[in-house]
Amino acid sequence: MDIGNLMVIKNLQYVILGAIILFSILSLIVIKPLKKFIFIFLFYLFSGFLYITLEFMELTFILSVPILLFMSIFYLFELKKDIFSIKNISEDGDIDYASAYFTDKESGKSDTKKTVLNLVAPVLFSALIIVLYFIFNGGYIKSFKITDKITIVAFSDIAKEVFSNYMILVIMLIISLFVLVIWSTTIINNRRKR
Amino acid sequence: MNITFIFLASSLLFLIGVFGSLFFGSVTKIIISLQCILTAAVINFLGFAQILYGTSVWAVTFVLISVILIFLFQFMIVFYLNSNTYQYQSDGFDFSSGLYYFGIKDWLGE
Amino acid sequence: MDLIKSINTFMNPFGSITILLGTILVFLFFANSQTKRIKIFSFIFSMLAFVSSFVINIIGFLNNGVYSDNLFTSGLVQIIEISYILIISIILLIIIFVFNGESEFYLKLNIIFLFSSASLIFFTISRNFIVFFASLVFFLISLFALATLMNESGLFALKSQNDSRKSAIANIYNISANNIVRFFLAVVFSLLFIFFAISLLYGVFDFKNFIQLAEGIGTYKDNLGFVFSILALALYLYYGFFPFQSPYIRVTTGSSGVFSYLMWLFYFLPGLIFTSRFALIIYNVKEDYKTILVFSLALITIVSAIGSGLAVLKSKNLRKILSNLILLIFTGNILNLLLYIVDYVNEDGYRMLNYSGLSLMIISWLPLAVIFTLIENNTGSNDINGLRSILIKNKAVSAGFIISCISLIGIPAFAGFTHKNYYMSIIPKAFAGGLSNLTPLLSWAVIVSVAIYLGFFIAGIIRIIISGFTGKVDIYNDKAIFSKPALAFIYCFIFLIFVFGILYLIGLFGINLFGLNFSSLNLF
Repeated sequence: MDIGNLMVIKNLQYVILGAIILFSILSLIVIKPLKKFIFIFLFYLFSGFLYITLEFMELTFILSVPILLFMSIFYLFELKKDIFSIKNISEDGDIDYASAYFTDKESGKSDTKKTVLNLVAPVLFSALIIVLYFIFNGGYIKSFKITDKITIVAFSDIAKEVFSNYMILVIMLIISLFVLVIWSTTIINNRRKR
Repeated sequence: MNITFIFLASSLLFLIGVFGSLFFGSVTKIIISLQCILTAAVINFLGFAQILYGTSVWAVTFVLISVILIFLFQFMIVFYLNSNTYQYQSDGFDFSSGLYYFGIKDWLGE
Repeated sequence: MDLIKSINTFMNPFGSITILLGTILVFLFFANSQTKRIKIFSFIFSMLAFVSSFVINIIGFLNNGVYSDNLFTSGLVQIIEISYILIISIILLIIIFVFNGESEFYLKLNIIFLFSSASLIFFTISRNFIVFFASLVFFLISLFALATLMNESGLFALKSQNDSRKSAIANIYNISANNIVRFFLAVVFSLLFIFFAISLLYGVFDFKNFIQLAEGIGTYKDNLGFVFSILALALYLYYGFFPFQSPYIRVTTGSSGVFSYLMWLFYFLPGLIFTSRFALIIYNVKEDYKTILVFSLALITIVSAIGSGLAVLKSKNLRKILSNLILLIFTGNILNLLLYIVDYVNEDGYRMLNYSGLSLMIISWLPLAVIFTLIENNTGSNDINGLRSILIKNKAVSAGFIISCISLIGIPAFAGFTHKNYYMSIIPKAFAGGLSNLTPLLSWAVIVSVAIYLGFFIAGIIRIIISGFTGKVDIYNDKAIFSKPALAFIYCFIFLIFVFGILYLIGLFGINLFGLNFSSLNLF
């Protein structure tokens, strides 16, 4: 494919990348679970669009399967957390679990100190990464050598690569899925017994 | 120009993820921040693979296998969280601080 | 004949893994069984599997020599590392059987543990980044499954209790589950750092494996700095050194006792292997970045040694002390890397120093941990002040306590001396001009980091000994019971401490015994 044909896609990429960053920030800020999950979904959707503009259509569809599975269980967890929220339970009146929960929390003596530290530490860590970038890598971006030709990876290429070279990982993956089944059935059975 | 922009955007996404996972106390927000880091890495990989190397199958295979495995790991963690959420321990999974707790009690002991 | 030949060539890298995975396949058929006989049978069977994979690991190497293809590489280094992994696995298998043998899901634990050992061996022989990363994730997944399953036994207390008690137990269970989740989220965080670093690495050049990286680092060194700093941050987060230690400390103190053994002995091994890979690569550019490498490594060593050392000195919780001691032992790896970068030790010496740290953990630290666990089980508390009242009851246990502490300090004729000897000898050598290829500032950085590391390590052990003999004696505590297997376990390790210590001394002085020259053991 000629790279000149991709001019439209290039301009599209700016918009899509902006949208990805916007939705990631929004999904972190928004409090209501439903809205939050709409934004996470949009975040994944736009990252999928980006992969498609980079000519990875089939990879995007393959990757969407684990993402959807993960998102569904994540959404279930969030819903459950919202339903069994401590505010809703304390109105039951029968047993005061809420107070039992709150008394066991760490005493709020050094609360202000903790919140300051809690804000300062991430800022420092992020700043450390930025500083490391500027110390070590002035020439990182300049060193990119852009190629002229772009080819499209078909699913058959990926499958060929996986099954010719990485068969051993597929075997490990199958065994780990067995392990996952054993583990999850045990967890579910224990919850049911209780 | 284009790959520069992709790289800068993915770095910004990475920084958002790092800051978020250290800053937020809610387990949901930490997991979302982890997704940001993951997506940043995948964007880097695919962008570099396409624009610098004209698509290498190796990078695509790496992305495929490692993303599936990381999602498997996260799936297990969220599954465990989900199975432990019942009436009298809800909200117990919201940590009082971010992922790491910088307190003297954990460090030196009480 | 061809079949035997092909089996023979297959044996070197994959023989041990195949045995472990085959054992898993056998166990999958009766994973839900509750019979006691099958549990004992599975324990013996997996023990045999571990032993035979240990033997095959060595025989395969002796028959085939070095194996290498585009995904895996297996030389003497990998064989030694796999041997360490298998020895630790055997010890952990015994510990899991002793503590969880009665448990409802012992067989499942066994299966998942076999899988985690197999994936760790994969990690050791991997060379391609895909196999490297994937096997690391497999290992961590199985560790997570083990952690949660071991924590499940706390759930059964929830049946048939009254409500207030139910809520209290639920709270305890909740806290330990919370700790596990927080720890593994931190692990995912560091894992994603590694993933991101590899993606940045891919932007510099089409690196696919460690060999290419080691060859290409000279050409691309100007662009690789940021990549390596992100990788170093990932390793730092993975190890959980000083400011980031809280998830690790919480999961070892606040969850089941067996899982903390898994954490102590098993979790750090990938970090160690990763560090040594990393070391060989950055050694190629040490001349260009000597100042920054020496200063950053010295800083990491000093910060981590002070952080963990102070925690050992101040903490009263036995498990916290053990966890921080492990962090101190693994801080030694960073110190070894520093000594390697400044050419104080060569490549073999660097590896031997790493292995001696592992040996210190297995031979000298483990009996101390077992004694602490026995004390915890007997008194029901984690307090170090209860140490003396138990030690007074049983002479064997107190002798084991003293001997393992002395060995950890590193007095000659005990096994721990091998670990300390190298570090001790750097200080006189430095004053005699042994570090002459460094500027004075850099050599002082090296000396200071060695001194601080040794100082905090030895001070921490001395503190443990002192509090073992000055604590208050609890007269009501007459029911201290030490089971015979546990005592045998401790005796065995005391014996090993003496044997290895004396063998090392014989090698050091170059004495020939029975026609054997032990000086080849010198480095262990």
